[in-house]
Amino acid sequence: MACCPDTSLWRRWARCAAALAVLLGLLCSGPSWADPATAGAEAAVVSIQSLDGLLAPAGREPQKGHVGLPFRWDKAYPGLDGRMRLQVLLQPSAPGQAQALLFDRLGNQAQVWVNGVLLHQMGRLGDASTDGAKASLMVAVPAVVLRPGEPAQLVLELSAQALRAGGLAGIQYGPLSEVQLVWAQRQLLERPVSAAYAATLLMMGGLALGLWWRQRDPLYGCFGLAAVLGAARHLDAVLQVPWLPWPWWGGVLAICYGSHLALIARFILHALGRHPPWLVRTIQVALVGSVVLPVLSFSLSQPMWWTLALTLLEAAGLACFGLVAIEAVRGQRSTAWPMLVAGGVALVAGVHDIVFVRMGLDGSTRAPLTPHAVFLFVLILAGMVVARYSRTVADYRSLNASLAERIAEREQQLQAAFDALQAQQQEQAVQQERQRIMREIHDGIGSQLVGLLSLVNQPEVKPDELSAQVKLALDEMRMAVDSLQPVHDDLTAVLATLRYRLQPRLEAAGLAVQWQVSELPPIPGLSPAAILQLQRILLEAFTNIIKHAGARTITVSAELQPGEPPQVHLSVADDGLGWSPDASTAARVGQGVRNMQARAQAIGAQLRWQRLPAGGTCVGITWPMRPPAG
Amino acid sequence: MTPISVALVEDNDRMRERFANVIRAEPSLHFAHGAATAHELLAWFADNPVQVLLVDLGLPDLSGLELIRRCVRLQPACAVLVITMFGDEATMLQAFEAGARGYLLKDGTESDLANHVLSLHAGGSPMTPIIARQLLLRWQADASPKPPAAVQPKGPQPDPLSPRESQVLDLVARGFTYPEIATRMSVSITTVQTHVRNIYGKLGVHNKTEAVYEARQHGLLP
Repeated sequence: MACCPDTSLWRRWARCAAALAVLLGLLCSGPSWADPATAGAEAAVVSIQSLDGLLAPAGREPQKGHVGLPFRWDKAYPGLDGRMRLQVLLQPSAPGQAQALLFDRLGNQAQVWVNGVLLHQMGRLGDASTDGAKASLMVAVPAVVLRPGEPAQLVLELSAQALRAGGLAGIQYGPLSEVQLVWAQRQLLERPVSAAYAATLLMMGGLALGLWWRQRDPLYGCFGLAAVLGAARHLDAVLQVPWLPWPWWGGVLAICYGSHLALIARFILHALGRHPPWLVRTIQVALVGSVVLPVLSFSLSQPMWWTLALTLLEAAGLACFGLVAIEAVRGQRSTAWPMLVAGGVALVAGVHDIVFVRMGLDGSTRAPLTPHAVFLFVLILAGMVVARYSRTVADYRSLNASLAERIAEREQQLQAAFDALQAQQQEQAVQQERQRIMREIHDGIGSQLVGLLSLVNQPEVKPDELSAQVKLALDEMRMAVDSLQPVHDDLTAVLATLRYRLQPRLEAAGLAVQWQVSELPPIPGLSPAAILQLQRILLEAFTNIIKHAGARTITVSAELQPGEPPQVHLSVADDGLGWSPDASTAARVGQGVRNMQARAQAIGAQLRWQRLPAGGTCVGITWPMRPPAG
Repeated sequence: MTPISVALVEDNDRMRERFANVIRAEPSLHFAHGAATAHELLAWFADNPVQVLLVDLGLPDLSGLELIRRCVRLQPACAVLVITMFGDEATMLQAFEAGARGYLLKDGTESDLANHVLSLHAGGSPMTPIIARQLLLRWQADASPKPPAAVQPKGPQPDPLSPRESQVLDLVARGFTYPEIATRMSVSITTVQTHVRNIYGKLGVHNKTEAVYEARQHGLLP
């Protein structure tokens, strides 16, 4: 299990290492492009190794001398401006054939004369605003200038500024067609490479600064600043006319370059997530040094201060390298190994630059390597950004997935809880209804049957009485069933149904019915229990009239009286003998009346008996329609 | 006058015997056949025309409503009456839709039963207030505009009620008897009963058009 990430990590390192090796190979072959010796392979093209000259450093006696190539002014006269006039005889050429001179470096300002004719001029001599010593230069020598069969005299007038890498390197002379080929190849690798570096650094720097602006991650800020500052030096290689006069421009470039390196060191610490205070302080010192020392160096024309700054940076870099190595060995950071490789390359390049370029120990001019080596860090940052972005996207997706999962889970739980609650409520409702029906059966038809049983057990029982008791039981049962009908809060339907059920019996008793029931509005919350109680009250009233009143007509009326709350007024009136609860007849119906009162109370209604002037009795029910509680 | 021939399907033996006895005791009725299951009845019914068929809805082998549909197809002239429990209005409505012309209550008295059969055969049609109310609601729902078209599947609408029929239904629902309705509407009782029969008939027609519609939907009819 654990080996899998390891192998993938190794594979990634291996890939990084391979890429770095290729780049390194490319960089190492860099100096060879600048090496004049290899370009002289063409038989017709000759390399010029030395010239005679007059060298005039500012403030000193001019001196004659023999100048071997490459010649670097800084090395011969550190910290001094100056002029020189160099001359050499060029080999005779075929008649009518144009020749050409190829200078690897020539500057800082220069005039090229052949046989007393000015062929090329780079800047004005002694004017520091231009610098021609940044790239190779080809000067065509037209055939008219040359005298067939005679050597031509080349005269170079140069001016150089302190610390500006002025001087002269690699002169090749030959037929124009041949030299042009060499130069074309040379050009391909000079300015475009610098321009590409500059563009890439600016782009990556811009990207990193953009990330820093949005995320405020010092890693990005550090790198972005470093990259933008690092671009300055590459940009300068493309510029023939700098934006500032020398030595100011040199100072600016040096500060940019130095702080670029210091910030890269700081970036390494951020990338590792390790910030040992001593190392942070060392880098800060190097940063301050790389600002202060170039100022000293360029204002005082003292190259050693700048060399000191570079040495300081190299030391800081070495310390960083140690930390990176520890992290790489501990294996806690996947970036540590690429960082180690890049750091190693940068350190070697830095030593190379200090020893060979700044100090000139081998007496040659060499191009600095550090700018190339540092570019590896750009690749590392790009890799980090890609890795972080991919990780973020992956995290975001997995977060989304887990969120969706959790939401689904919660929904399920909610639904389950809701279902359970609903089931519970339903069960409760069913249970309550069941208990109610049980109670109704027991109290209603049950008591009727008990009465019937006791009647049957009496010795002399009349069939009429039995029949009446059975009919009561049937009535009770039918009312219970009717109370369960789905009448949808419709009191009219309840009354109508009761009448429909009783009509045959009333007809049989010879009673006419005056039905004065108006359309009643729906009554919310009209419960089966309330319906049954009302039915029983009315049935009792009807039964009393059939049995005792001796009436011919029953008048039933129902109406709703608006109010707060609205009241239903029901009345059952007969035209019989007339009785009221306090009258003597009441004794016979006492139990029934008490039952009616109890039922009315149960549904919150009021019962009232009234003796009618024309004879007969009226039972009035006043039932306030309170909205269902809850 | 030849007695009215009556057949009966009822799975409860005692109940079947009771009905049979009532019918036998009534001189104007002739008890033709008593079946205990739907299939037994269908086998007999195919070859023996009767004038009245009493059907219990709770048969063990076939839904009573389905049995009514088949019998109505076999003998359209036969008046199918449903034997039902007291208060089972919802099932009664379905039975009317299936083609039944009336209903008998299981717990009626013997004389009630015979009278009902005779009355139904003579064209009388009882209607409880609850049935009337449910019919009113049904026709109101059909007649009222339904903005959300998706709520109800598109199908044939029952024939609309005439204003008279609506009035009859309304009065029945409010508890008035047929004679009272006749008085209020200034018509004869027979007219009221005709209205009621027509209302039931529209339910059955509704049922028939629905069957045709469904058959078309399923490609059984052109």
